[in-house]
Amino acid sequence: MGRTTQNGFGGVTAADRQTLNLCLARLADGDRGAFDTVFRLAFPALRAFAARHLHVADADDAAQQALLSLFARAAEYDPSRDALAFALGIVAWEVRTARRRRQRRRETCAVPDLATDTSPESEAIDGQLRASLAEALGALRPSDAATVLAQAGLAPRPAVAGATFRKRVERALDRLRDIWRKCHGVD
Amino acid sequence: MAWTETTLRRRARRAYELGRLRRAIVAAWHAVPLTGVAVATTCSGTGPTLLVGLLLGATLIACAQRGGGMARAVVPGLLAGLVPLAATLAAPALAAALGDSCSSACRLLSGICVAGGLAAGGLLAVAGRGRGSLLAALAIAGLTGGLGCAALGFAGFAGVAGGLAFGAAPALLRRGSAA
Repeated sequence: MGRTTQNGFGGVTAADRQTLNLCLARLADGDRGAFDTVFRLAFPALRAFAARHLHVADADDAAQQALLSLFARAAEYDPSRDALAFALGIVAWEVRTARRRRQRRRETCAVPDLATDTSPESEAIDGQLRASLAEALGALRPSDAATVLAQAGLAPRPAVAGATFRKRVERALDRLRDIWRKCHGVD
Repeated sequence: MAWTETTLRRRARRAYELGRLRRAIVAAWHAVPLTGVAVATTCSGTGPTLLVGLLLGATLIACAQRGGGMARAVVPGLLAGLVPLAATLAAPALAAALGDSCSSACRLLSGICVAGGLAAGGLLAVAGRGRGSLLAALAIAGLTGGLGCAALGFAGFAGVAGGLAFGAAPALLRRGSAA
């Protein structure tokens, strides 16, 4: 406790995280006095997470919906778990829902060619996704990262048998998925 | 959507209370089988037993919704209340084994209600913690035990309540003076 390192989610410090753990546990027990502290600490973290994964217009909606879900499920919170992880699990679900909704909306609006969609919004989303993917690739072992890039046609393919390469790709993608899940809470 | 912070705060508070209420309703399931058993074994009208069962369900919901010490009082209250309930439900079988009729067993119930209430009150006095949680546990125990005594009407219920109050009185007085 007492550390002031930032973890990247709405400027929540290590001390804030401890406070959030305690206050969400109190709220789960029925202590309404902890409501304001949970609201003050959780909302910026939820908004920051949603903003990293969604367009700004959707991000606010998803964060607000996640906050309501967090309070609706506060009584389910297990104090032995990390409160921030509990909250981020909820917002990750809202992010997924918002993405699906947006995807459906696009399909029903019959956008002619998604690949040629060069609106600032889609560019921003693409940029964010590329940055997140680069971050996850950077956390992989160099050999795994090279395999993934080779599979995507962005690096030369190593001189190994086809079956061996496929196995390497499979293993590298599994590890990449694990890292992505840990960083972003979603597949 | 995009609510203002005041609206969001109000909605979040309502979501919290509704979430707790949903869980409290699920947690109050104990009242259903207890009432069912009491109704099935009662030797007179089922109306008073159903009414006490309804009150027990409402009390369990209120305690779980409130949380804190009151929520923690639910299990001890139910367990202590099982003492007078089991005693009263066993009374007709006991009377039949002794060769008495069900009606004579019902006459014995008053004494059993008071004795069961005393035992439950004593148990809660030993196990209970804070004054608020002890009062909640006593109410739950009284209603649980009252399921078996409701067949006697108000007298049976008063017997359990009196027994409970008398059994838990020392602990209540001690906590009252400490507070």
